[in-house]
Order: sequence, then C-alpha cells, then structure tokens
Amino acid sequence: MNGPPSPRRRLAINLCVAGFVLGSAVSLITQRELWPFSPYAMFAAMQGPEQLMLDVVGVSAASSEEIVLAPSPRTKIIAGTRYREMLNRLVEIGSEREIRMYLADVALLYEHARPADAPRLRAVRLYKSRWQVMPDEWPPARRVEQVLLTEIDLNREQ
Amino acid sequence: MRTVRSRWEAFWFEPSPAIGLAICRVLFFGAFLLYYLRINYTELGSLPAHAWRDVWPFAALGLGLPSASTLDMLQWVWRVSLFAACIGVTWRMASLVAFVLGLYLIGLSENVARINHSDAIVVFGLGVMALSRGADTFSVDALRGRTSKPAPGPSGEYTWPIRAMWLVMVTIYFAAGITKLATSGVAWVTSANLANLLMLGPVTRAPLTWLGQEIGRHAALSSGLAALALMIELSLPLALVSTGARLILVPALLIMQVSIRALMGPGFTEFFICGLFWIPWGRVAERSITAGFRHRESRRWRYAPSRRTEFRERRAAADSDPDPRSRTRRLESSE
Repeated sequence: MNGPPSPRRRLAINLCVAGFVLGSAVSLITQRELWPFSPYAMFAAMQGPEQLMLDVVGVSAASSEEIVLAPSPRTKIIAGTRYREMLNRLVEIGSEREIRMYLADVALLYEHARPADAPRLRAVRLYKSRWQVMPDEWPPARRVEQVLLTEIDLNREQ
Repeated sequence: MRTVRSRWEAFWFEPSPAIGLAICRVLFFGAFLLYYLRINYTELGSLPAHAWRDVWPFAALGLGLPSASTLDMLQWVWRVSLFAACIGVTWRMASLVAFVLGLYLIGLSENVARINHSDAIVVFGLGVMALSRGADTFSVDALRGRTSKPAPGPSGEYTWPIRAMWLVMVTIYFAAGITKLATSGVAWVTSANLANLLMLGPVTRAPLTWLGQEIGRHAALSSGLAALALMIELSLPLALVSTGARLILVPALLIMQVSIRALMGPGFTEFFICGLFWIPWGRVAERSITAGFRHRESRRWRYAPSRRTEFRERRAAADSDPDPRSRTRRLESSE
C-alpha cells in the first residue's frame, strides 16, 4: 500500500477534481444553485438603507413583556437567514390557519425548553417591522414601523 | 505542455509525510463531531410544509423528509462514524459512512427555506477524506497493524487530499467574489452597500461587537473594507500556485472571516474548521519531534559533561543537514 498513487488511482483523483471544477464552473456561470455546487451569493445583492423583518415574540403572562422567540443559530438548523426566509415564505404563501399553527408550535417549543425562572407565555405575536439606517444617530439603525400581523391567545388555543 | 503536466503532478502528488494528513483527519472529524453534536436533525420534522423546497438531488431521487425517529437514528449513526473516522478505527467503512450520511443529512437541511452556503464545504471535505488514506498513521487502525507496515514513508497519497481542500476553499471564495461583481457590479464597493449591511448588522444577525455599526457610519471606510474583501476573494487562486501569495492571502482570509463574525454576525464556522488544512501539519509535527530530541539531549549534557563535545559535534552536523527527516534521524542516532 505504500508508495506513490498508482496510475489508476491518479486518474480517479484527477477525474474527481475535474468533476468538482466543472460543477463549480457551471453553477458560477449560470448563477444557479446546483447543490452542493453554488455560485456562493453571500452578501452579493445590494443592501439598501431599509430592511423589512418578521419577528415572532411571546407575551409574558405575568408582565405582558415581549420576549423574542427567534431560534439560536448555535443550536438550531433553521436559524439566522434560513429562519428569516422561512418566516417570509410562511407569510407570503401560508394561510392564516398555517401561520397560527406555526405560532402555537413555537409556543409549545418555548414551554418545553423553558427554565424554571423564565416567564410563562399568554400569547404569541408575529410582527412585521421596517428598519432604517440613520448614520447620524446612535445606534445607526432604527425601527421606524411595526405592524402586528397575527396574534394567538394561548389560553384560548388550549 | 510537459511543464504544465509536471507542475500539475507535483501540485497534487508531491510526496509528503503521512502525519500531516493524519492530523488534518483528527482535527477535521473531531471538530465537525463537536459541531454537529449541538444540533438535532429531528427539528426538521416539525417544520411547516411550505418551508420545504426541493434541491435538485432530492427532487431527482424523490427523497422526502423521513420520520423523526429515522432522522434520530441516522444522525446517531453519523455521529458514531465521525468519531470512528476521527480516531481512525475501521477507517475505510467509517469515512465512507460519514460521507454518505453527511451528504444526506446536510443535504436534507438544504431543502428548508434556502441554501446555507457554509454547509457544502463539509460535504466536499467528507468526500475527499473518504477517498483518502488519512488513517495510515496516528490512528487505531495503524496501532492494530491494519494499515501499511512498517510506518508509511512520504507519499503523494498524503498530499492530494490537503491540496483538494485548498482547491475547494479557493473555489468557494473566488465564486463568492465573482458573484458579487455579477450581481451588483462595482457598486458593491463604491456605493453605501457595505455601510448599510454593517449598520443593519445587529438587526438582521448577531455580530460580536458594535464596531461594525460604527464603521458603517463612515462611508469611505466601509467602501475601503468592501474593496479589500473583494480583492482577497478574487486573488485567492494565487494561493494555489505561489507560496508567497499563500503566506499573505491565507492569513488575510482568516482576518476577513474573523472580521465578518465580529462586525456583521455570520459565523461561517465550517470555513474556519476547513481552514485547518492550510496549516502544514507535517512540518509542524517534524519540528516538534526535532525540538523534543533537542530538549532531551540538552538534559543529558547537563548530567554527562564528558560527552558534551561529542553531542555538540553531532548536533552541529545534524543542523547543517537540509533534509528535516534526515536531521531527525541524526538527532535520534546521537542519543
């Protein structure tokens, strides 16, 4: 087994390299996602001064305080930009019933993972917010509009 | 033509020590085992139906989402295979299972909402390792004598997997640079694009510091950073062909990734882990061994003054030897 790779093995390795380069080139030239090949459009689109965001928040039963219920990228597969995209699709394509079901699931997950000292929830809300950059202020990004899209009352849902 | 071919052959199959690839194997599988232990693929089973959008291999093969119990079983088999590959036990089987299940489980998550661009590098890495002879040394298989006997000497078999990972990383960053230009043109650098991204960082992601927002307030500074990032991405292919370029571009890449985490938020942890392949572990290991012999030698001098002159002469002769392997052997024999 020792020694340099045999000619057949070299050929196999060269073919694998060629396959990788070809797949990557096709994906890049066509600018299409051909997983696992990709044009890697990370931060490629222009970012304007405004940003629309969807937020799922829980309402504390004790104080009515709003708690953000976004999944942590450290422990969840569906987090960060993938989570945002999923919420966008939910609002765009999903029915009102599907949105309410999703919010109920989020509340259930929160309740399962809730530490003893964390508050219970009485409601879950889905907001759409508009953020604007303001370079002359601090912090230089402010929420300028917030619209409540859906709210579920957990006591009634149960 | 012959020069191009011989340079191509030298790039992929230049002999290198087995220990370099073995260290990469331990770090690669060990780090990804820890990374994937923290997430649970059964989470995919509770997502709303509309979140699913097939990526082409799953659509072509008609693969859907399995039940939560199947996902749980598969992810545990995968974790075990990652561990087995890390310590190098039943290497051929373990690395193959790690690749096939990695391809399936990571691919499955790509069907949800959108592609995660930092995942594919893991699949390519698992594929490269599955084809390699990464457990010829520094592994349980080697200890049990299931691989080559005696200890393997330098071979191209230990070079091409590392170079293949270089190629994967270079391709990713180069494609990212080209796509920025194809999508947004030079305005990606000259407009307020990066300034806006930095100022909105804490809204859309979770950067480690507020420094990005401060930088974003200064348009010229933001554009300068955008130009620098694009320059690093587009010039990275030079790192494949020039050692000098590699010495500049790879650390620059690391600084860029750390800055992205600190200023904008995304972690790209997979890229950091695969970045370990840029470190010449073979040379690091040989130097450590040489330093170990030197240390032992200097201790002996202290207790055997009569042999001091002899040791000095042998060490001087070893130091003048340009070949590190031969140098190590000379130091060993001086004991």
